[in-house]
Amino acid sequence: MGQAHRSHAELPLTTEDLWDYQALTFLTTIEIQNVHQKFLQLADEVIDYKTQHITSEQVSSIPAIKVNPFKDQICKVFSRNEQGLFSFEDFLEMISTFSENASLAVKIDYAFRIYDLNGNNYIDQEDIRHIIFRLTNGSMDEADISTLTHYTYWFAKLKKSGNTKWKDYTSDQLSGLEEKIQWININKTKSNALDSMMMSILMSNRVK
Amino acid sequence: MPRHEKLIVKSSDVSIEVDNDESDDEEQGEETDDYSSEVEPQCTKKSAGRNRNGKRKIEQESEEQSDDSEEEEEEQSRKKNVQNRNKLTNRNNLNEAEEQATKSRKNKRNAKSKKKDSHSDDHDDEALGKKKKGKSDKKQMDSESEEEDTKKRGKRKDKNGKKAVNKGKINKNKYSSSSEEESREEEEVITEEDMAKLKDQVEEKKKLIATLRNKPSPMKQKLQLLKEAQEFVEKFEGALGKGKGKKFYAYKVMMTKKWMKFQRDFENFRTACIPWEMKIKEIESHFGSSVASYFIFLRWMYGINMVLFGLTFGLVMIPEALMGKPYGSMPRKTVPMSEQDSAMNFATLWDFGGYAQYSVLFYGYYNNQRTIGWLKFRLPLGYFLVGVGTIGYSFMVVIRTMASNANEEGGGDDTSFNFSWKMFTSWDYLIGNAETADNKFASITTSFKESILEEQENRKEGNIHLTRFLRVLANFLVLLTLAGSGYLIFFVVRRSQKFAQEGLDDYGWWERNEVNMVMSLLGMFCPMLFDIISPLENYHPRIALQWQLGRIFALFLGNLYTFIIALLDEINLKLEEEKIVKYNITIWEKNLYEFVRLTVSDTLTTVITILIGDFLRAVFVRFVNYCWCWDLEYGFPSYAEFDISGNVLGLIFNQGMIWMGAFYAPCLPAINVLRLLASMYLQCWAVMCTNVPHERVFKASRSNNFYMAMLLIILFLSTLPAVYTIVSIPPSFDCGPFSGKDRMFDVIQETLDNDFPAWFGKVFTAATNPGLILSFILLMGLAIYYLQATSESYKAANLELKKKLQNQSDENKKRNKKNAKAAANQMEELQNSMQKVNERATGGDVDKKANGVNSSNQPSAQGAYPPNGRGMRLAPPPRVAVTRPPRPRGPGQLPGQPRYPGPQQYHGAHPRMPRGGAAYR
Repeated sequence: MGQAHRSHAELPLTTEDLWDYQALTFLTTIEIQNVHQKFLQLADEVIDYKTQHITSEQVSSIPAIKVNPFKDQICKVFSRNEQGLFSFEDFLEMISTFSENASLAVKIDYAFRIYDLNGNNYIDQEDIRHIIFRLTNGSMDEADISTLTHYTYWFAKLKKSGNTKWKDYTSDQLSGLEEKIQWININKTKSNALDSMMMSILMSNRVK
Repeated sequence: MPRHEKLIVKSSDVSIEVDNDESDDEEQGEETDDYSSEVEPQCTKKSAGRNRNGKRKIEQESEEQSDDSEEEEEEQSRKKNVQNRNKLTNRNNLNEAEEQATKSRKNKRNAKSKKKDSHSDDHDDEALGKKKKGKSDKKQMDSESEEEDTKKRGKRKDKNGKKAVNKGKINKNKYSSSSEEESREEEEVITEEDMAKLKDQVEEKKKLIATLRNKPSPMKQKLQLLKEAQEFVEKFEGALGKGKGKKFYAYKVMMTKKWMKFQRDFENFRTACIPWEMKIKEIESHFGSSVASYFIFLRWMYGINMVLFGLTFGLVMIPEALMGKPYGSMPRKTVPMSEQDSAMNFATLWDFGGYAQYSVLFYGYYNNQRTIGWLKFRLPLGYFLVGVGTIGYSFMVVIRTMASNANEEGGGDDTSFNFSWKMFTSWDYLIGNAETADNKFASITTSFKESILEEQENRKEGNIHLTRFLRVLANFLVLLTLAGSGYLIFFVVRRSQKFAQEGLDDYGWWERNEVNMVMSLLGMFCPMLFDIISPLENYHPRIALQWQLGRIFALFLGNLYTFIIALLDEINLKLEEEKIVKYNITIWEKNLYEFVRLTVSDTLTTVITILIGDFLRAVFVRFVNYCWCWDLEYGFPSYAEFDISGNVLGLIFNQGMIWMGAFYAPCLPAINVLRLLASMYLQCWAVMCTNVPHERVFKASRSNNFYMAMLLIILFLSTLPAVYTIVSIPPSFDCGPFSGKDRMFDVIQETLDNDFPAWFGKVFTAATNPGLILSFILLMGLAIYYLQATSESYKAANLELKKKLQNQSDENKKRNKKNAKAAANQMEELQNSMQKVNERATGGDVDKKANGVNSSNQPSAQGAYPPNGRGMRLAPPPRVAVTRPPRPRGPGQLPGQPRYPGPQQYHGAHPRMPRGGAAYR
């Protein structure tokens, strides 16, 4: 780890970049530096962090989402690349979105994209089935899943269009969402994951 | 005046031109270059050209950024306002002559609206710009057409406002491309109008920079936008401002930059300063948010105690230690001769006797000298104010935290979208540990099944009575337990009094310690009893935890109060005896030192409980498991779960003791800070290495108002006696900073008499007159009533709005009834098809494409989804790596590691969802 760090030290973030990234994310400079370190660690050979890409597998190996049932989907949403490659900016964006301070609007937007498993811009019945399947790790039988899907649909009162569109939610629901959706906390794991790995290197390792 | 008219006319002419130009800018766009290279570019024309150029560019870009259009629109409306405002303020920057001109114009049409006004000022600016260039050869025009003009211009302005985001860029391009022009015209060319525009644009760019992070667009795009905006701002910020204003403006810009940087740095610093964030996050990821909520509460408590410690240490202990009379100068500061021999023994010091007792740590050491040292520090007054401040601060902080938490929690209709909530929010994204994830999967499955059952039961409306009955029964049992424990304590205290009267010598150890023992035994076993009772109620664990906490809380409080009531009898007895003696020389304050000892012993108890209850148990289970006849780890003793309720209550009661005793022992907050520090580290360690996650992992909100409510009750109850002693018991004559006074609060009167002018004392006396205070209290009562009423009406209005929303959606539903029906049919079909698929799946190979299922939903799953821009084709399902590889029942397992050997076969053992085929190829 120490050696790796030495090689990374040759590719520091410039101050300007750091400021830019801070303006664009919900992270503090220290956290961005930590993310940067983490990114370099994940990458095999680092030539230039601006052009370097890491694969979805590498990203999903970070402890924060390793056990997440939606990790493949999360990678897909954030990678913005056909092959699922992550640039540093993508990676930073992901961490920022999951960070504690990220605004609700951003979180909801990404939440929708993550839960929209089949990518048709609607959360439809199929998506809900898959969500249930993933949330229960497959330990629920088919009939129960069908019933639950049915109920979810029924009670979402969104059956009118046959699709759940996030923007259809009333403000009432959204305010409740704020309280309930634990997205707000997502990043904490992330930070934890990132930090615990960098504990030995950095004095201050608080990546949110 | 006519000259002005002329100028105006000219400018308005031009602006009409501009308007027309814009309407067919496709043509005119080509001419822009001509405009820029013209030898005599009229400045208004130039700006028009710029706008046109801008518009063209915008159109190009609008295609690129069509996905951002929504956010942009929002921003635009904001920006429009900003623009108008800026224009108004800009007027102030004009020099005097310009202002005169403005006034004369204003007089002419002061009936016009504000907006128009601002625009017309722009005309003035233009006009003046012309004047500088010395070009004034135009026709006249009457005021009507002028008004019309302003309207048009207003329109144009709006348009410009809409394109505000991009305009800056264009302008920049313009400037950089036409450097020739720039060099020729130099500063003079940047007219007031341009200036205003530029200023607006700079402001807009700044806004953009500030809000860019809220866009969910890709980072690269954002980065580009940011870079452009920053460049623009940097380039033109310096150019803004003219003449007198320029220096000031530059200065202001510099200062704002510095201020921003400072704010950022400070923010970084502040987040880096939050202690134990990492530890708590680690715990959170292992044990879920419920356990973490305890540690967050502990940290919050630590913060409060740090403030209390700072107050007492800085304003009471340090001054006394530095400037007060030294040790041994007077009787109250000297260890009595009889205790002198043992005063330095460790046992005595550990018990806070001997030298420890006769030190700044305790109330009795302080002298009643009015001022001490060369600073003339008024120690008694300081002591009193710190004592009151401690209580006041605690109340304020607790209530403020509660209020802000209540704000966060507000809103949200829990019942109506129950299933949606379960679906989208049940995963705790904090989980980063395999075993916790396993538990979470299990608990989600259970909760899904429960909610299905609940729904079905709701439809039947059958079993609810049983649940209700069970809950009532459980509460009845709990009440019985509480009453029983109360009676037991009362009985035991009475008995001990009897023993005491008869003399303790005749009795053994048990009789002497009966009260203490009974109380701690009750404290140990009653919570267990509650634990046994609570499954009857069948609550969600989060609610069950609250009930459990509330019950234990009631138990402790009830026991405490029966104890006090029983003791009161005894005290009354003693008081009657003492009345005969009349002269009472006991220094009652010293009884309150007991709290210090209690706190220390409490801390020790906690440490020992952790070491024995958690650590030794874990060690035993871990190592004896090798040679035991059943599996200790999954079987009976197992590892301990973290006891949230017990720990929270311990913390709260401990804090209560601090509040109660802090006035008489200034060292208490210091001790408590140490204690909290130690328990933070110890418990973090203990929880990570000896405990296992709860079997039903549940989410707890980060801001827990339930804890706070209990804390508030304890705060109130514990400050009651302290306040009572301060206000109504005369201080002892030979002890503490208030000795010799009638009441402690007399220091205030004393200070008023000596240190303030006479009139102030009079005012104060008048203000503290009961009549005034009573009326003030009355006023406060009325204010509370009024606020209450207002909030009620707000609530009602909220409900009304909700109803309206509901109605609207209902109407929508009616309109779409057909669609709904169709959807329901589809649902049925789907279910049928599901069954078919199931049958087939059980039959053996599933060939979906040949399946009849295709008629319902399958086709859409197969191909109807348009290939998404993000390249959506679902990858294989995540092989959630939450489980260990199967292994022989090996040499036990470490706590914190997965405990259940079971569920690693999820994917393999369970038949995959047949319908998932398309998406999950």
